[in-house]
This record gives sequence, structure tokens and C-alpha cells, in this order.
Amino acid sequence: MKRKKIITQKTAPYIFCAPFICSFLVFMLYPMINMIYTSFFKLEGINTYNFSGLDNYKRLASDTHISAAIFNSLGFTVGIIIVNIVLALLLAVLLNHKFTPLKNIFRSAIYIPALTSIIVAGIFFRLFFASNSDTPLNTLMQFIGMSPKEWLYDTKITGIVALVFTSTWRYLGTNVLYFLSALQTISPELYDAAHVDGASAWQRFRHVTLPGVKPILIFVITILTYGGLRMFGESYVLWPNSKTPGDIGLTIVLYIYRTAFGHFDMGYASAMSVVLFICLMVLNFIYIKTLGIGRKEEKR
Amino acid sequence: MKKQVISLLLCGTLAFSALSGCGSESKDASSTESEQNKDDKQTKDTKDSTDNVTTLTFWTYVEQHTEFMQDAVKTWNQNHPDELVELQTETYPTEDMHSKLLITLQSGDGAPDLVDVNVARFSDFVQGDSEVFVPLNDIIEPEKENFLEPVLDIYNYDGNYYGIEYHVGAPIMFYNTEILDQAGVKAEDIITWDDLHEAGKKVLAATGKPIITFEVNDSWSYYIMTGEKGGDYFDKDGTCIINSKENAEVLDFMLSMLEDGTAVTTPGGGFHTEEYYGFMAQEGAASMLECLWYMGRFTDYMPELKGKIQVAAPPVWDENSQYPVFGGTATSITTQCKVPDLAKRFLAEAKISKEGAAKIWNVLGFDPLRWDIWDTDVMKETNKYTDYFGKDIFDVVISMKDKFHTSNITASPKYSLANSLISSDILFRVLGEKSATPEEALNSAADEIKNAQ
Repeated sequence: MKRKKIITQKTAPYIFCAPFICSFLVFMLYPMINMIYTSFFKLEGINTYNFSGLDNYKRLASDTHISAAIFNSLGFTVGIIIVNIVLALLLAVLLNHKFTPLKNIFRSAIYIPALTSIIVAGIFFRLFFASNSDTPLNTLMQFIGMSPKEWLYDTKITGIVALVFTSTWRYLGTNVLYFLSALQTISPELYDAAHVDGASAWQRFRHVTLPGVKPILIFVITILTYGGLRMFGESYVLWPNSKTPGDIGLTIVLYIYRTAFGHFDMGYASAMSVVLFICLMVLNFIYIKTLGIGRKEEKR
Repeated sequence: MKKQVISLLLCGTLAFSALSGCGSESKDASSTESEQNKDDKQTKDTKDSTDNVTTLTFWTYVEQHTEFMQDAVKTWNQNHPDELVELQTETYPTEDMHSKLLITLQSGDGAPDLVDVNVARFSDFVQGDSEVFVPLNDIIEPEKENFLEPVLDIYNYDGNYYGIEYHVGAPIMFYNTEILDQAGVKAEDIITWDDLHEAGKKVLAATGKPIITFEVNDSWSYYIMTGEKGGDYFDKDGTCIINSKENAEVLDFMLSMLEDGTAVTTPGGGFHTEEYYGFMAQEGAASMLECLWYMGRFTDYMPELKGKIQVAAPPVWDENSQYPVFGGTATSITTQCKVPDLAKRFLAEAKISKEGAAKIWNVLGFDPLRWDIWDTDVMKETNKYTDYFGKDIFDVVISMKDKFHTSNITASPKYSLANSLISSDILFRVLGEKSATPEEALNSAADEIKNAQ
């Protein structure tokens, strides 16, 4: 009797994909559908849900914290994109330069912060930005003749600066690595040719390096955008107990978290999540259309 | 065929390992977890006899409370050799513990037997149709007359007591006598808030230091000041009174002190930050308003100030002022507890009995709810707090006893929202940023609470 094979060419892909599909269905799709459902309800106590129609969505319009959260999240996103592109590209070019000494040591050193936990790094930076006059940053401020500042409790802008600083310290190394790998794919002959044609250093960077790293540039911008808009950890640690006075440091995801788990307002938090999801999908669509992600390379 | 079996096995392992991290807490997982903490978290007395040992789980966000509870287990096991108890304690950060508790209570699985719930979060758990905590009336009511009722009432909802507090949380003023002496000011002469303001001017002139600090990122010192005036966030029926005249007047008073430099806002935003401990330890201000349990912060984080800090009743607004009490942390038994009766009797012995109450003072340095032991010898024993602050700490609390009144913590499910708005928005905007007047800020908070209701 011939035994039937379980794994055939037809079934293999399904079997191999099954673990991912199962976990996606259980941990992603189901919670998402449940979230959309919950956004039409109001939670009383622990598990009494009362139908409230579109009330949660109407509340969004009059909520003053949302505009602050959007401002902070967007400010942070723009901040990390600018800093992480400019600084990371600059460092990558430096580290890729043939005359830079101790390249390998710098490459590893710059990556080390990415390995630390955000909680540990966040606690350090909270004390670094603390308002006392003897903290590292304020000592530096006084050294250059400026008065000490309450960085974390001053204005929304200083809050964003603190967030960008903390985040950059952690992720700069990763982005430098991305750019380094891109730079190494550019053929040295292109530089030589440009040199022979009389191109200046800037022209070589503008016309050889930049087009060479473009795919990685798009990739880094995309992940920084999503990383920025869904940022939570930095803000959660820099302002302890998710207390963000005057909405300084309040990001969209932190506000959703605080509404859901701090005030047990699950319905409203779900409504906010649905709106955030829609906004991100629109952004996603714009990115795909304008940056050409996923489009097949043009044939030569 | 072999290859197929191997690949299937690999797939299975992958799927299992991907999924096993999630799901409800299995027995194995919990036992591994407890293994790690075995040395210090388990009561050794109970290890030998495993037959009649009942394991209870306890979650808290205060490390000190685990020591207190483990001590209570030792006493229990000595008194009840037939009903040995083993306590598995887990300490989490405040926010994380309450989120975890919410999720386990919602899902109906994985909640601890006993749990410490923060006063600001308590109302969230008792509202709605389903009961998640076991009523403690049968252990509290027999002893009620010996207890300070305003503190018991904090956790009373619909006639049931759902939690038992650790301490009264008597509002207390901590004066730095060294700074006051430099300005020739005596703490005893400061009776009203106006007296404090006047004394502040003298202190500022003599030392250049503010007399008091106001929190901008935590609410409780403001809550004490407004509670003295009869203000609160909600009245007894749950109507929002966060924008009441009394509340606005307190903010006006705070602003007037900030304006002339007799007060400053707290470094780090609140009293429980490393920045603030450093500021006070370096004698940055002459006083602070908190509850009696803050003594532990002085002994642990500001040892430099030993012998320089005097505890006193807070200033009042006028002769009608009362002191609000709002405890701080309640211990509750969840309805998921398999042995609620045993848990209740254990909790009664740990926190309600005279011996337990005495330990609340001697082990934790808290003011126990049982007033019938306040003037007994156990309260006069020396401990690290009497060494630091002097022996008459409790005389101060006794002098305030008849003026305590309860706070309407469980009156509205939106208490935690109100508290959060005050602590992270209103105080900062009014006192820190000065971007809104007290009336504007409080009205905006009232609107927000109304929208959320």
C-alpha cells in the first residue's frame, strides 16, 4: 500500500507558513478586529461594556491632549529623521573613508548603545536631563555660560529635543550600519571616474554617493517614520509613571496606553488606535506611491 | 519519510516555542518564576511540611510591603500550625502592576490572591456590574469601632469594604529646623497657611531659600491643601467638583507664594524623584507637605538630614479646617482567589489585629488605622523613625485625630482620570508653565471629565 506523503510540493508552503499565519491571526488580526469592535463601546468598571455608538470618535474632536500628542509625535519623527539621516550618513562616510583610523573599533563602539535596554538608557537620560544644577547637562550649560534648565519640564520643544537625543543615542549606530553597507556597494571606479572628470568632493557626494545609497535612504526614512510615530518607550521612561505635565513628551501611543491602562477607558483608547491605524495606512500608501517601494527595478 | 517526520517535528517545535511564551500562566511557568525568587520570597518555615501548606500569591508595587507580608506569614504559621501558608510575592512598578491586574481580572485568569491597589486607581476596579474584589465586611466590621473610620470608608463602595488600608496617611509637615533656626522661625508658631507665607518671607530674607516646595507632577500635596478647605475632585454622589471655588483658591494661594519666591516648584516634578531627594538632602527648602509615611523616604534617601527634620501638623486655612485622609494603598482579595476565607483570616491577622497594627508602625513606619493602640506602649518603642525624627512623632498624629475626614475616592469611576489631570496637567499649567489661570485650568479639567463620563 502506498502511504500518502504529508509534505508534498503543494502542501509544504502552507505548513511552513502555518506558524506565522497562526500567530498573526491570534495575536494581530483578532486583536485588531476586537479593537475596532471595542471602539464603539464604553467600559464601566472591569468588564461591563456598554454600546456608545460613535461617542468615542466624537470625543476625539474635542480632546486637547490629542493635538499635543500629534505635535510631539510628528516633531519627534521629523527630528529623528533629520538627525538620523544627516548624522548617520556623515558618520558612515567618515567610517568608510580609507584614511579614517581605528575604523573597526568605531564601527562597533557606535553600535553598542543599540544593545542597551530602553529602560536602562531612559533612566540614565532622565537623570542626565534632570533640572538640578549639578546634573551633567546643566553643568555643561553653566560651563558655556548659560543658566541651568528644566529640560524635561520646560516646553514641548525641549521635551522633543530630549526624546530625539535619547533615541538618537540608541539608534544612530544601527542607521550608520545601514548606510555603511550601502556605501560599500558603490563601486570605487565610479568615484575614480568622477575624479577624472574633475568633480569636486561635494559633487562626488551629490552625484555618486547619494544615488548609490538611495534605496537604503528610503528604507531608513520609512522605518524612522514608523518608529517615530509609534514611539512609546523613550517617553514612558523619561517621564516616570507616564505623567507628562502640560503634555510635554506625550506621544500618540503613550496617550493611547495611558487612556487604556491608566484610566481603563478601553473604548476611547480603541477609537484612537483605529484612527491612528487609518492615518498610518494613508501615510503608507503615500510612501509606496511616491517613493516607489515594491516597484520592480526598471529594466536596462 | 524520515525527512518528513523531522521537518514536521521542527515545524511543531517552532510553533510551540512561538506560542508557549504567551497564554495564561501555567503551573510550570509560575513555579520557575518563584524558583528564582525562592531565597528571599518564600517563607522558609513552610518548606518542610508540604501537605497542609496553602500557597497564596501577593502582588504589590512597594518592596517594603513584601517584607511586611512575609513577616505576617511567619506569625501566622506560628499561630496556625495546622493551616500553614506560603506567600509568593511579586513586586512590579506601579503602572505595570495595575495594568497587569486589570488584564488578569478582565480575562478571569491569572490574578493574584492578594493584591495591593493604589488609592488613585481603586475606583477603576470597583465600578461596574462585576465584583472583582471580595468584600471584607466580616473581618472589618467586628473591629470597626477601634479603627479610624474615615480611612476605612475610602474603600467602601455600595456598603462593602473592598480593601483594607496600610496606614492613615496623616498629612504631615516636615520642617527643616536648621533652616528655620537661621531665620529665627519656630515650626510651632506656624498655625495657618498665612503664617507659613509670612515665615517664608523671613526664611527667604535670611537664607535665600524657599520655605516650601509645590509639586507640579503629582497631586497629593495639593489634595491635602484643598481637602483642608473641604475641596475634593468629586462629592459623595460622584458629581465632579474639581473646579470648585475652594480648589481654585488653593491654586491662587500657591501662585502667590511662588510669585514672591517663598515657594518653588519641586525639582523632578514631585516628591518621589531622585532629583527631589538630592534637592532636599542639600537643604534646598525649609519644609514640605506630605503624609506621615514619607518618613521612610527621609530615612532611606536623605540620611544627611537626620536630627534636622521636625514633623508637625500641617498649617490650616482657619479653625474649621479638617485634615483629609486618603491612605495610599489598600490590600484586596481578588474574586479569583480559591481560598477567600483563609486569605481573609490571614489578612485580618496581618493588618487588622492589634499585633499586625503594631507592626505597621514598627516594621513599616506607617500610622496604623487602629487608634486604640495609638497611646499604648508599642507605639513608643524606638525604631529607625524615632531615631531620625525624635520620639514624639505619634503625639503629632494623636493631636490631629479628631479632625480627619474621608476623601471621596470611590465616588466616581473617573477618580483616577481626575487625579491624573491634576497631577500631570493642571498643576503644571498653573504653577509651572503659568499658561492658564486656576479657573481656566480647573474648568478645562471639569469639561474633560464630563466628556469621559
